[in-house]
Amino acid sequence: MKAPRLDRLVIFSILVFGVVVTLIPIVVVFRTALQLPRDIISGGLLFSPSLHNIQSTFGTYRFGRLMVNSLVSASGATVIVLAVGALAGFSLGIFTWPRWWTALILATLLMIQMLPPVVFAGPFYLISRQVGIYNTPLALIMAYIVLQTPLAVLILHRFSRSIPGELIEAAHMDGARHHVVFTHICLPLMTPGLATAGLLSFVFSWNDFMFAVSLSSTTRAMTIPVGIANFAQDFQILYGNIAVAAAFAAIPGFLMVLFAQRYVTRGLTMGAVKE
Amino acid sequence: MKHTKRFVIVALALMVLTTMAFAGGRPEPGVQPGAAGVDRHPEISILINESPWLGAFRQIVELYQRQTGNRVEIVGSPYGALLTRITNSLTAPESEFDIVILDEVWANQFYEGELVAALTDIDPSFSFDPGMLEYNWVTRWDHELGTNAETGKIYGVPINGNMQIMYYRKDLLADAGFDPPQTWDDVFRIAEHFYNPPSMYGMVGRATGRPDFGYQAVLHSFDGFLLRYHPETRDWEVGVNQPAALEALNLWLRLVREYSPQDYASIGQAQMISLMQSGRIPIIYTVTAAAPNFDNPAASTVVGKVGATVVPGPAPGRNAPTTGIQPFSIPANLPLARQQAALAFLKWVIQPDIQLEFGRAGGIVTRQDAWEALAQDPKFWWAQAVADSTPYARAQIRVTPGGRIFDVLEGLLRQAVAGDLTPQQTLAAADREIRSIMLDEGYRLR
Amino acid sequence: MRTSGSGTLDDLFKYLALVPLIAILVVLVIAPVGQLIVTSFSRVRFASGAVVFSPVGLENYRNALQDQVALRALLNTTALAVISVTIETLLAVILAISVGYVHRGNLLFRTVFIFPMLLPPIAIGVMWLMILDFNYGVLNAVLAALGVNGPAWLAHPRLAFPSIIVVDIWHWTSFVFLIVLAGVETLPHELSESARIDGASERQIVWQIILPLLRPIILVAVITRTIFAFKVYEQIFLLTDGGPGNRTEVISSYIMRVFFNQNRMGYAAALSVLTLIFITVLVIGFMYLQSLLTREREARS
Repeated sequence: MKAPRLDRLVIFSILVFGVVVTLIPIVVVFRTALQLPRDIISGGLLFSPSLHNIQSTFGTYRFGRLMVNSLVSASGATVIVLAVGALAGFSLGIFTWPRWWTALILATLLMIQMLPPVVFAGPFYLISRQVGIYNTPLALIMAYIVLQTPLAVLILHRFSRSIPGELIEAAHMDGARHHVVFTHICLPLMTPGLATAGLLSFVFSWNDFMFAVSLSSTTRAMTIPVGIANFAQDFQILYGNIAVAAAFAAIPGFLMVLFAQRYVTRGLTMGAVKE
Repeated sequence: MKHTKRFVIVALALMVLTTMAFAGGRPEPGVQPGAAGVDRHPEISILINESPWLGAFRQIVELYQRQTGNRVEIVGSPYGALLTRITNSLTAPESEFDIVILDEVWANQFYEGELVAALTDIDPSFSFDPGMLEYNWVTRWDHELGTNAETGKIYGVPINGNMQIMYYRKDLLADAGFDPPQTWDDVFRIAEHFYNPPSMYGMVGRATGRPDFGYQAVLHSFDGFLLRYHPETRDWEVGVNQPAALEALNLWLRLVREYSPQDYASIGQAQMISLMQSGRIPIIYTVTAAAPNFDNPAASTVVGKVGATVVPGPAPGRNAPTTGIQPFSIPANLPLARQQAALAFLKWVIQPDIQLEFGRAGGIVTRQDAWEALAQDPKFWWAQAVADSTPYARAQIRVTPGGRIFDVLEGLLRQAVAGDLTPQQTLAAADREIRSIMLDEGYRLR
Repeated sequence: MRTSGSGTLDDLFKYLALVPLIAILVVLVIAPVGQLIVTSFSRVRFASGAVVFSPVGLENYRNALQDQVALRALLNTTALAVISVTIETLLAVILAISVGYVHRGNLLFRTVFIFPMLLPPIAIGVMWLMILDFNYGVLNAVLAALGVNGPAWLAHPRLAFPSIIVVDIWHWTSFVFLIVLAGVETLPHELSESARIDGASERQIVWQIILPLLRPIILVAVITRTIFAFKVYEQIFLLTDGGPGNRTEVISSYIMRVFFNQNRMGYAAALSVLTLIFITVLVIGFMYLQSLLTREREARS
């Protein structure tokens, strides 16, 4: 799109302003990460930088291990969520189902999103203990599948509905089976949707605290948000360690956003727009 | 298309590999006779909250492992998630932890429901020796009375003997010619003298995150009470709507608001400690466990400048510091062998010499002899204040719905601090709420 | 059927594709939700080493309807959801459309605007505490350097709630942006091009072509965001802990406290169910309003 010069100036100012406002708090994180605890609480603007927080975060608190756990849990869940979501989205969007059935499934999925997560925390704890996956990333993967599948199905359902019917008809004319249509036609066309749903699923799993804390107990499965909560103690809030953790916690998501850009941009609902 | 397929395959393979890597269980050694008078036991795991004294506890556990050859795993948890984990574990078919740390405020629901084991059921000969501090019977529960009493069964050992003490800046008070505060009037005199915002304030109180903890020290010093049991009539009296409670609330509100920074309504324990660490406050009263924070050179600008004394009262000798004890308990849903392993550790950890070691490492001990021995060492400048506080120590509410009552009380006190309720309205509402909770939980009121 | 299959196994694909989702719902969702409903009609206590459920009928629900704290928390949460979601949507739409106009630096802008969502909520709480805290926040330090005494952003009765909203907007505009941007990128160019040839101004194109086309996607964003807004908890816990007084108390933290601190699982379950009903009514109401407006608009044109 092209716009007149004045409008372009306005647009550019809006964007630059947005960038500045978004980045200021992030600058504060880096600043805090480099401050000694006593400098953080004295509130001055000047300080001498220190590596104290970075050393203790990765040394004493084994933050590296937590990052690995987070990565395994979030990406494991995301892969399964995408598989389940793509299949369900394909089935619900391409085939004809009774209206009540589709509505029932979509309503159930929305309901899962609306319930306070604590509702699932107790039952999942018992299930993971019984199945013997408690305190392993598998327990977290199980929980994140349940929590993140709804949004993924909602997104991918819309996407599969936007796939032109003629394409699918043509494939069937050529004698293609449904599963071939799914893998060779629908999946490639749904790539933007997969990217958006995958990013959201990854980020929300990555940032979850409630399940991470009830399904893990040691560094064997503990994830970053629990580690961060360990820094917010009763007698002292270890702001510096939290800042270091936050800075490093953002890296995987940041890389994903960078790489997923070209897919994500095609976005959530070309279906919705075309309807 | 090929890329997508390959990606899926790689991801699945990764998942299978990680599953295999994490799936191994931990070996369980059998019971064998061991060194240091403690038998060989299976490995135990202890659930405990992350805190400044956890490091000291780790040192003691190291010592136990060296002395006895028994293995102990420490599971650190954010304090806020402790109840989630304990509730999960104690209501499961079998507990994942062998020892859990409780909190004075909500321990009783687990005693009353017998979700934790009576120590005498594990070992009938178990008892405390007289040097052990029991803090108004914090780990004993009398099922008939529905309160903590000497007549009750022992459900745990006090491990974190947290008690409020008054911290003050030795250097500042000495320069200005003040003695350590003994009465609330002394506190206000000191606060007024130093109050010079924004560089210096006079006093801050715990206005959020369990404000009732701070209020109770004032309330009890005025001979007020929240709840009192009358043995002769076998019923409970609610005391929050009595004149002493109002006098105490007015004074506490002054403590919290009058000489504080403008954000007093959002100041909790961590913020109080930070303000002291950054040298912006001459006096605060809070728990013993805060003491080592003032001597941590990375976090504090007042290293070596802080002293401690007993929390003041309306007059010298009318002190009433509140305790915030954390007991160690053993889950009931465990096989006897694991309970015995846990009890062996508990018995070991409350021995006089081990407690002294714990104290030297920075732990908050639960023996009077240990506190007195620590007080000889200037490094533990807070120990004498704690030892002196012991005779005055007052318990928090000791009924089953402790957590419920304090949650309601916290909401009301915070509204009082914010000025949304007058002190009278606050106490009238507290009276109403506490009564209805007590009746709901089956207690008899007078 | 939009399509015609061949062979019986092939016909089954329609059903097979749905099996994983249904399996997850049956195995992992039905039991917890069923338990929630049973619990909400029970009183749960610990006794004789076990968890004992005793049925109490509608007692929990009756109590919930008279619970002033719950009401206050629900009102706060609703206000937070309505105000912040509205502002976030406005900002996100402006930013997304603006990004759509830019070619140079497009990648940079998109990445930056999505970034806040990537941080753990609890870290966002701490981060804003480092900015807004009265005693050691950067904001008041900067103000002090300019000779102004900054207020207690998180403790002042009139400022605490707006401060929470600012943090929420900073955090969640990114989510709405991500979704709306997806819509912007898939807009058919031909429409706006032909309008431009017909001499329409850029403003007219935005108002009369782009925004109407974006409406369905904005609706998706608003509904999802509203649902998420009712789960806000961690960052408020660190910033104000519900204070001052109860001005920033939210329903999810209240339910957590009732569940664990007050040890009233039955009551917490009833509060969860009522919250679910409340959000459902809110979302359906919003969708109804939206469809009314659309119909009216269509009728006019």
